Amino acid sequence: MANLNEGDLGRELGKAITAIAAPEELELYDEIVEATSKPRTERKDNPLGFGVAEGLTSAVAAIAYAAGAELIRIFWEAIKPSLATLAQDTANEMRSHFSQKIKNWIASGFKEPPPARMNEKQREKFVEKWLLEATNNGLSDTDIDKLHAALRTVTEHEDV
Amino acid sequence: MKTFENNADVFPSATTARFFALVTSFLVAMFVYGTWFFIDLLGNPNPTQLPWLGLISITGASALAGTIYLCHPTFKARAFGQADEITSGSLYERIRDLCTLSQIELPRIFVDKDIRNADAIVFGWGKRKTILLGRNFRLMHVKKREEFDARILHELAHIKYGDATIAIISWAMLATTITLFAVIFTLRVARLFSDITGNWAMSWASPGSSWLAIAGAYSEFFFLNMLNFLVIFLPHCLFWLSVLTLEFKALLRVREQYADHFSRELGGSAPIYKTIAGQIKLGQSDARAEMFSNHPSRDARLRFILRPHLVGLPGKYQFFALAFIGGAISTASYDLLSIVSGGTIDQALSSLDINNISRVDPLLAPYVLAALAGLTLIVAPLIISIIFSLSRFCGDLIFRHRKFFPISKRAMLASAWLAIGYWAGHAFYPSNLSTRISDLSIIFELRFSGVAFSSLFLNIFTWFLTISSALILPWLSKIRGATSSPRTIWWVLASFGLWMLYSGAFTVQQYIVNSIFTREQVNNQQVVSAGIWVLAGLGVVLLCGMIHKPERSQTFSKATVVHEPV
Repeated sequence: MANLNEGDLGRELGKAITAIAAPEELELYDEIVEATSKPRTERKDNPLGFGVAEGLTSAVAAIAYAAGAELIRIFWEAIKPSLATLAQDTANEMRSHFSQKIKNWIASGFKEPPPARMNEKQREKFVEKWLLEATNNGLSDTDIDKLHAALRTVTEHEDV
Repeated sequence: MKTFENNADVFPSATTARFFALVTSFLVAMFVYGTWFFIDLLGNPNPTQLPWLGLISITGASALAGTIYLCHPTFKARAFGQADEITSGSLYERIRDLCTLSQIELPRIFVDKDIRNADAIVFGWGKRKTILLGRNFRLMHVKKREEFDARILHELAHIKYGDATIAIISWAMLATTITLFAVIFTLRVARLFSDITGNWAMSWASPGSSWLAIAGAYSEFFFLNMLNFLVIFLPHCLFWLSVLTLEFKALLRVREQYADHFSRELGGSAPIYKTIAGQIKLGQSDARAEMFSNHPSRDARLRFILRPHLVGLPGKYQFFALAFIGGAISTASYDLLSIVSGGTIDQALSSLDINNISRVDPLLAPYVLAALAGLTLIVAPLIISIIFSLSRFCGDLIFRHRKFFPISKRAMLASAWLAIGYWAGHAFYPSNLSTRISDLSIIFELRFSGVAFSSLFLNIFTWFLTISSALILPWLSKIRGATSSPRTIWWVLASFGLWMLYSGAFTVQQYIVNSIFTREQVNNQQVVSAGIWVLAGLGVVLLCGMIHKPERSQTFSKATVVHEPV
């Protein structure tokens, strides 16, 4: 049941990351996220246009959304073993509680401790993966630096 | 550092020749195929009426093209789907500032709903211009201001230079041609089926016919007519649509280069360079991309941003396309001449019967003389544009970089390429193509027809002559001590030279075939006049080579090579 919220939570987390890394994109965040879920259409070479153009690759928000979704998935994976041994009702209650914990964590601006534990290696791997993705998608150096800082803020916490 | 003058007059041929070529092809196609339309509609009109029917066709087609142009804002506004007009906000204000910088009136601004769309188009007639932006421009506006400005300036250039008018009129002409072909197609199919059903009814009534005989007769009737339709009509459609499309795209591409240049002049070279360099999908430079795309390849655009004086210099495939168009149009003029001199359409369109057409001596018939003069005026600028390209090719790539090309191999290759393109335009002209196919089919049937062999041989010989002349041209231009002359005169002379050479050689070939193999009576005066055309053409070509001075022209000296901006 609680997994139904996974997408929404990922979206919310992505928005929070965007707010840190690229606040100027917040206004367009929802549109960018919607666009990422749609299949790409072949662009026409319009007469008197600029040429075939694909612009979404330059948005921090698209990377932030995907990174946020993956982080939420990692959190759920982390608590999965403990839920397996519980009765159905109790497990559902735990899931609901865990979702709320994630929401609170996001709402606090990542000041509260993260809802699940990530070790140093996992953290480095996660950040590295999304920075590479950002580079491959043509983000500017400034944007990559800001995204890097935002991902560190989200994943690093003393009380993990 | 910026000494380049952003003035369209500096490179008159780059746009004017292309637009003129397109208009000419449109008028020729409307004249010839408009008469087809009337023949389909009216049956067989009197041959003397054909020129008038052609003129009526041109008038009607021009009216239709004008109507399409007037209506275009309605459907262009939906090019990106649903869009909203914006009249305020930071994006609107930035575009307004860029309009002020560009000294143009602020157009209406629409933004679509697709955040992935980073393209923009301009359209509109008169002063009511519109710029339609992809929604990604909103993102670009906050993330990449320089790229935003570069793209918007590119679009504003299309408004400032009148491209929105020229390009859409050209597109309307293309759409009109497609419409005419579609109408003729419908009429012909309707007539074919009407004939079949009508004859079927008559045969049904005739006594003594077996089912098998009726079925056999009708299947043969149907397939022969259908074959005739496919072999004659469709190649004509495809050929002319290809020619018009080639011309339309060539026109668009050169306007895109001017727009990039405008963006560079006002926004700096780095933003537009980086923007284009980042367009991963624009990197193709194959034949299709070079000849049929609306924008030059990424490499070509970047090259032009760095070296603006190269505007109009076509790539190797575009070079071939220009020559192809020249060859096609010059061949089409034979059809036109046949029509205005009283031949029927079928005769005019069949080069096999070209000598059976009752020609009128051009010098005696004023209207034929006028048509001939008109056609020469049509063909000459086309070839001028080709020679212009050849001149640039020789002038820029060889004489500016002499140390890399001590022997003008590249010029000779370019000339041969030009001649081959011109030949292809002639050979693939539908009526000539059917003749060549007919020759080949006779040979393949092992009938060893002397006419077929000689026709093919003489065709090859004619084009060997033309290609040889083209090869001589750049060689002669290197003669030491050659005197200088205005390039325009050189273009005109060289064009007429090639044209005369081609016309004369073609005519001589026809008469030789007829006199040797069909034993028809040959008019010696015509042979002599054709021979004079050949000699005169050769003479003019040689003269052009003698007087052309291979040095940097005024146009080149106005440009300054800009160093790598990024």
